[in-house]
Amino acid sequence: MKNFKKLFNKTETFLFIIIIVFSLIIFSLNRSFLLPENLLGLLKSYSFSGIVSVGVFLILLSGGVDLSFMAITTVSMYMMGSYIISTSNGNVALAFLICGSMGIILGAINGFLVYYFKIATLIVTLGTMNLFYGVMMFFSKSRDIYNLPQWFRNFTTFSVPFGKNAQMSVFIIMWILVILVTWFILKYTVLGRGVYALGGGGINKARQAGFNVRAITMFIYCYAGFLYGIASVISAGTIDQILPTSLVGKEMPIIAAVVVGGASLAGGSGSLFGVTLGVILLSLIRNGLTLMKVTSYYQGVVMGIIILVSIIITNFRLRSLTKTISKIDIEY
Amino acid sequence: MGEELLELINISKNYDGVKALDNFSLIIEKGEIHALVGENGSGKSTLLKIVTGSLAANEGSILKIEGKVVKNYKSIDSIHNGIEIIYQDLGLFPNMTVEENISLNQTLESKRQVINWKKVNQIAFHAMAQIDINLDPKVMVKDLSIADQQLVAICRSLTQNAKVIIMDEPTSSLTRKEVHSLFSIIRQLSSKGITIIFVSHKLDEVFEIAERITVLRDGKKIGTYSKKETNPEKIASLMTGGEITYTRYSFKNNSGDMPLLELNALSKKDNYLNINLKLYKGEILGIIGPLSSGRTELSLSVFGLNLPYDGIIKIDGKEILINSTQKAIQNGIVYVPEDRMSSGVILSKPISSNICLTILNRLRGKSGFLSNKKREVLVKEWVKSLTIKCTNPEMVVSSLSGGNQQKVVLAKWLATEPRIIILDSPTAGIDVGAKSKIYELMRELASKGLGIIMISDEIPEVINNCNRILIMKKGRILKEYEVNDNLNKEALMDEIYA
Repeated sequence: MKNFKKLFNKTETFLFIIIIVFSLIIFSLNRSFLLPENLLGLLKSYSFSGIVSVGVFLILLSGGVDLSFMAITTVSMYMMGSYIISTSNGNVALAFLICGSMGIILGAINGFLVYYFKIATLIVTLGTMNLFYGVMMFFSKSRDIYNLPQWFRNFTTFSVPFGKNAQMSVFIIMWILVILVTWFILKYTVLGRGVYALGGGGINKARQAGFNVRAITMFIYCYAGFLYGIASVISAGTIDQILPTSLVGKEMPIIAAVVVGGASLAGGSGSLFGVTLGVILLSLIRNGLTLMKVTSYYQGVVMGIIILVSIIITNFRLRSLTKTISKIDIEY
Repeated sequence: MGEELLELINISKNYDGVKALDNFSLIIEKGEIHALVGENGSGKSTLLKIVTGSLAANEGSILKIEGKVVKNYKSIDSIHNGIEIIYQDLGLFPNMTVEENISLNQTLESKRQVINWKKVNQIAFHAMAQIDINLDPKVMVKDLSIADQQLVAICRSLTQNAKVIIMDEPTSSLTRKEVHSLFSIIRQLSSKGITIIFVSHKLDEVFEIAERITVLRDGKKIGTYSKKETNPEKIASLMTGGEITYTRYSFKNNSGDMPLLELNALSKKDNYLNINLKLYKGEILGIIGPLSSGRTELSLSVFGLNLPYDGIIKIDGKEILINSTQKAIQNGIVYVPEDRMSSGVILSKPISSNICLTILNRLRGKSGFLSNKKREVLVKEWVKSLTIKCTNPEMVVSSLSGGNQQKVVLAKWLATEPRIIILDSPTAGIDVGAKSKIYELMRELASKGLGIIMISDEIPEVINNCNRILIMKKGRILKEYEVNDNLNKEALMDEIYA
C-alpha cells in the first residue's frame, strides 16, 4: 500500500496514465492508431525532440537553463551538410564525427562562459544562441542545402524489421542508445552524480564535498552539445534537406516537454524517464489534435493550456507534500 | 582521558589589520566534549576555519595534532588527520539519498569514476550502525527532518575515521526531544574516544552536554572552565564582558479589565483546540511548548494566515474577522516569524528596503510615487532607535549578524505602529548580548502599552521576561502560570517535557 502510494506520487506515473488515456482517445477516433507500425512511426518522428531533450534536461538538472540548443543543432547540421555535399567519399561515421564534434565545441563555449565568468546560464545561452545563429547566417548567406548524398539517405531511412510488418527506424535506436548511455552516466559515474550535486547543492557545496566542479560543468555542456550535434542527423534526414532556419524559434516546446516531464527549473530533480514521457506526451497530443482536425491556431492554444495545467498539477502535488502549516496531533 | 589530541599554541589571525584571533592557546583532550562559546565576532568562526584548514593562521601560530606539529595545513590535511566539521547548513545534498550523502566523501576519495552502489550502501549501513541509528538508506535527504539530516551529517563524518567532530550550532533548529537524542549520540561518540567540539549560543545546552567550556571574547581566550566549577550566569557574563543582570519583568495593569486581545474558544482541525487567551496592554505573555504544539499555527491564525474553523478573536472587546495579513496589520497585529532567514527578511536586499517593506503606502510623496526623502528619514530613525549596527542602511541584510538581522525584522514590523506583537522564538540563533537587547526592547515596547506575545523554547528567557506564561502542548493550552518568586522552574519543566 505504501509502495503504491509512493508510485502514485511520482510524476512519471501521472504522465504515463495521461499518455494511456490520450492514446485511448486517439484510438477511438482512429482504429489504426495502436498498430505497431503506426506507433513506431510516431516514435520515429519524436526521436529528434527526444534526443535533444536529454541534453536540455541534463543542463536543467545541474541548475542551469539552455536556450542555445537549437542553434547548436542548426550549426552542427549545416557544417555537416556543407561538408558531405562537397566531398565524393564521405560516409556516415564522418557525418557523425563532424556534427558531434561541432556540438561539443559549441557546448564547450557555453560551459566555458558559464564556469569562468559565472554568468547566469540563461543569459549565456541567450547570447550564444544569437551568436551561433548569427555567425552561421553570415557564412551560409542562408542558403539551403539540397541533394544530400545517397549514402546519407540510405542511413536515415535505414530500419530493422520489428514484428510482422512494422519497421524500427535507426532514429529510434539512436534515441534508445542516448537514453541508456545518459542513464548510465547519471546513475553510475562520479561525473553524473556531480550533476545532481551541482543542481541540488550549488557550486560551493559541491566543491566542498570534493567534486571537480569545473570538470562537471564542462562535461555537462559538452555532452549536451554532443547530443544536439548528433540529433541534427535526424533533423536533416527527416526533411531530406538542410535549412538554416528550420529550427529557429522551436526551443520552447522542448523546454516545455522537459518541465512537463518533471524536471525542476530550480535544478536537482527530475528523471530521464519522466522527461522522455514528457516528450512523448506533448508530441502525442499534437498528433491527436491534428487527427481531430483542430486547426493549427487552436493547437497552440490547447498546447499552452495543457502545458500549464500539467505543471500546475505537478506543483500542487509537490506542495501538498511540503506544507508550511503542519498537522498537529491534538490531545482530546 | 588526559591524552592530548589537539593543541593550539599562540594562534593569531589578522584581517586587514584587525586582530580576529589574538594569541589563542587551547588543549583539547581525546574523547572529551568541549564547548566553545562566544558572541558573534568573538573569533569563533575564524578559529574553526583555522582548525579545519580552510584559513591559514599568522606566522608563529602552532597547531599540534596528536603531539605532532602540522605545517602548511590545508582542508584536505585536516580531513586526513580525522578532523571533521558539521556546519549549521550540514552540507548535505537534499536531492540525494541518505546512503549517497553518507558515503559521498569516501566515494569521491576512492578516485574511482564508476560508482559501486552496493559499496555505497555498505558504507552507509556501517556508519549508521556505529551510532545505532536506522534511517532508510534509500530515502531522499530533503524528505527527512532536520534532526535526521543532522544524523546523516554525523554518519558522513564517521566514514572519514573522525577523531574530532566539530559541531557548529547543531541544535538551532531542533526540538527539545531531538536535542536530547542528539546529546545521547554525542555521549556515545565521546565514549568511543571521539572528541566533540560543541559550538553553541545556548548555555543551558552547553551545560548539559559539555565537560569543559572555553570562552572567547574579542579574539582572545577568556578561559577554559570545567563545568563543575562554573555556572551559566558566570559564563554569560564572561562572554559579554560585563555582568548582564536579569531583572524580572514586572507588569502593572493600568488599562482595567478590557483585554487588548482576546481569543475565545478558537479551534482549527489538526492545528489547535479550544484556545482561550487574554492579552492586556503592557503585558508580555509567554507561550511555551514543544515545537509541534500548535503554537506557530495559532499565531498564524491571529495574523490572518491560517483561518480558524471556530471561535472568536476580539480586539478591545470587539469581535473581528482576520482573514488576511492586511486585516491583521490594520488591526494592529504583527507577527515576527520563527524562521528569520526564510520568512523574516529578504536577505539579499538592503536594510532600508527591508524596513520600508510594510509601510510603502505611507512613504508616498505628493506625486503619488515613493518619496526617497521620507524613506531615508524613516530608515534612519529606525536604525538609530533599534541600534542596528551597520555602516550604512544600504548594506544588504545578509551581511549583518543574527541579532542585527532580527532587529531589522522588528523595525519592519514596528514601523506599522502595531498594538499587538507576536514574537515567535525571537532570540533563536542570536548571541547573549544581542538577546538582552531584544529583551530590553520588548520591555520598552510593553511599557508603552503594547501587548506582546512571546513564543519560546527557552524556559529561562520566558521566566525572566514575561509576566504570565501559558503552556501549550498538543494543540491545547494546558496551564497558565503567573510569574512570581514562587514559580517553580522544575515543575514548569516537568509540565512541558513530561
